[in-house]
Amino acid sequence: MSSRIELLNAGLLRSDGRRPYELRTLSINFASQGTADGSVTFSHGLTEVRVAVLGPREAKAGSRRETLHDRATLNVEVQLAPFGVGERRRRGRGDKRLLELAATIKSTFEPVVQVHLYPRSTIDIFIHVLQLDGGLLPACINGSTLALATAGIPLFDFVCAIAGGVHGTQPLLDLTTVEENDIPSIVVGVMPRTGRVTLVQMETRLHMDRFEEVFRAACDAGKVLWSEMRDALRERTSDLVEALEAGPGAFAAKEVEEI
Amino acid sequence: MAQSAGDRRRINGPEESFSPVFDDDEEDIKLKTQRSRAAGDIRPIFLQPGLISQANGSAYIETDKTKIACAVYGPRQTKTTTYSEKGRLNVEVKFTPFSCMRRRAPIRDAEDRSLAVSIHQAIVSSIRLELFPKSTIDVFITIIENDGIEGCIASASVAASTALADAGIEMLGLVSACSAAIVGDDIHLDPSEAEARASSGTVILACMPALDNVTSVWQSGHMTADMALKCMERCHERCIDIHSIVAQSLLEHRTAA
Amino acid sequence: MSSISKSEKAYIQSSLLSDPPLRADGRGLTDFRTVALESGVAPLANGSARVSIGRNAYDGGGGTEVVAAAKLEVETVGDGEGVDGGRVVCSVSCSPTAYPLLSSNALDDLQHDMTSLLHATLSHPTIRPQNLCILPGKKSWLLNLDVIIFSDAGNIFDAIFMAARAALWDTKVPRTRSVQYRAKKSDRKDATQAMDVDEATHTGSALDTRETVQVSDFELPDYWDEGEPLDGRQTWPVCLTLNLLPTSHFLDATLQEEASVPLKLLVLYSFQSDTPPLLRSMRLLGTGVSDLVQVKSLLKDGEKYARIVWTALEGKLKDEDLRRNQKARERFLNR
Repeated sequence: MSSRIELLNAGLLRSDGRRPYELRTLSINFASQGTADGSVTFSHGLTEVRVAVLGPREAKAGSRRETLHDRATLNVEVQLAPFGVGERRRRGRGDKRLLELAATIKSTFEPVVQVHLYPRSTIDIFIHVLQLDGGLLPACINGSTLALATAGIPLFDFVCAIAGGVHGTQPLLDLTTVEENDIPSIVVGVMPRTGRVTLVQMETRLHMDRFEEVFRAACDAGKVLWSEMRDALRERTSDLVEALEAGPGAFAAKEVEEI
Repeated sequence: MAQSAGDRRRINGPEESFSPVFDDDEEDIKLKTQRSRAAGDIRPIFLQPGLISQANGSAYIETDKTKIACAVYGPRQTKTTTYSEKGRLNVEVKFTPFSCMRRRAPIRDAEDRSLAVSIHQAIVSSIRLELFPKSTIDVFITIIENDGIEGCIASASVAASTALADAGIEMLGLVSACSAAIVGDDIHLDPSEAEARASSGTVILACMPALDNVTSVWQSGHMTADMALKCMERCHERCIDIHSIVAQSLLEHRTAA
Repeated sequence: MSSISKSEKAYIQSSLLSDPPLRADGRGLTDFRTVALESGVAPLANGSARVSIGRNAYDGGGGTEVVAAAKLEVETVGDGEGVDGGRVVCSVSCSPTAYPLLSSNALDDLQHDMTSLLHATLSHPTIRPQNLCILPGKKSWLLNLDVIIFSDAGNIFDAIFMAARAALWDTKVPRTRSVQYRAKKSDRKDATQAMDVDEATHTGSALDTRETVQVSDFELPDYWDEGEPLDGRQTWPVCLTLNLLPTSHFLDATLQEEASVPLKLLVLYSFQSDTPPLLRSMRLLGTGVSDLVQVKSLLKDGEKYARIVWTALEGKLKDEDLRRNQKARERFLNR
């Protein structure tokens, strides 16, 4: 099916009209979700994830044994909305793909979160995928970075992740599902301030000569994402500071004025 | 894409096939929904407390084709370490593989749990759980034969309450329960499976007749509010009768022992 | 779900019973918090809606938040669980964010209980939409209704059913056209207008004199997001939770209020213009007890409140229909 769609036409435009290096629109919403300490709804193109961070806190009754005496443990759970993918399929908590995804996210963040500050506690990252159109892992990682930051958990740096692929000899960035199914791809997670890489994932075959080109492009794209994410976070923080200075009820007053 | 998965080497049968339809199917259903008793009558109840010797309390109930055994263990120490001020009531329901028309795989499935929840709701408010901190009362219910889920819930609630009394657990009153179905414009009490399937709505009422209060109402399907109330009133009348049966069987069991 | 101390419980109960009754957020006993509804939130589903109760005004967060989405699948009748005339299957899943203190087993049990109520009510044969049938006796639509609870700040059942109702209201069933494959020379009179007849080269008997139309398959004439709404979408019920105090009752409880009342009554009503309101489901939940007289008066009150909720919901859903259709038209004009 998907092979019939032209992924890159002669004018170097992709199936959704983007240029090879063009990223999809980001939208970041920090609205609070229940009792979560930090939360974000992160959408990247048509892929949409909700991330909530709870903690650092005492572990739940069942998993208290797994806590460590010298640092906090990260607990990542990923759920997929049954209506978020093309073909409806219910995935339970024990689904292998989701567990693998959660394990990848956990190992990505372990060196980034300053876990040594919170011994004997856990930090829960709950991810709910609302809609899927390629780039699931990058969206989860970027969302988690922002949610951890809004929860006030000290991080060494941001982690900005992006998918890259090669069509023929042309590197592409930020793949959709159609592209992901057809061309070799990698996922790169960079820490933009230091330029270090915490995650490289490749599940397909890619020519060695092409790898470096895609990898570099993805690292640069990570920095672009970083500026977007940083701006959103700054805006949110300045809003909070403003509210703090204005005193309680300021938001309500603002709301009334707008009406 | 789906076609490529098919077997191309052999001659396959037609893509779709249909099982033969027998003429008397419809008649059969009609026959089953015909009641041998009046609309306001319930099936005869056989209730025997203390049938399972190793349990603290037990009861066996039989209403026509519905056969249910119930065992109560406890109050015993709660396994988890968390402190609870009130006792916990744990209800588990199991169907035997041969209990229904179709064989049921002997694993815990969705229906077991929803039955357990409704039985729990029926009996929980009759037990003085505040007397048993840190402990659990386990109620295990085995449905040996099933003739209508509504009847099963009602009978199992009665059996569970009898077994709790047999175990000597302090209660505010005995719980009795009755079900009703609306078939056409009539209210049929204690419907069988065929009747429930033919009905437009069902009600299960559990109450403590001695205290004149209601512990659970479980209505599904559609009916007007007046009709639902009428069903509940009819059920309540029968519950008073059932209550005397429970009390009598418990008394007989005590004097025999 | 939240556990509160005995003194908190007594404090909340006594203020609810005082005259005039007092609630922490200043509402009256029968007042709802703000309810926000938006339909069409999941583009990949055939119908979807998001409902939030009591969210805060400045960032749209907090409060009870529920998303429901309906997705249609084609099912062969008689294959596995397929039923002639289609069926509705409901499921509820809870995000761990909504109940951060529950263990995963407790969470499973909770979502199971919610699923069983939703499924028992909405998939009852008496409420099944008529247009879920594609080919009588052969193919039908399976409607999967998935509800996800993102956060629970009290009154979750009302929110679930509101979202479910809105999603089902929003659901569009794709139009289908029956297709038949026939021998070349046979009589053409038996093909109806609405049917496409594919001529297949066939060496079989030309003496086929069957008069009945044998429909064998179907096709989709238009793109999937255009279609007709579900039949009888007004009849989907609304849920109302009455929280019971010894002498009175109140609506739309917060988590703390829920934890401090021993018993609640769930009533589900469906309203139609020409018939009296029908009770679709009724459940008594909790460890307290009630009696017939109280249930009788509660049913009457419940019907009154449910009608108000239903009217408000109906108005909002019609607005949403208008908003979404208009938006699509504008988008097209601006192109």
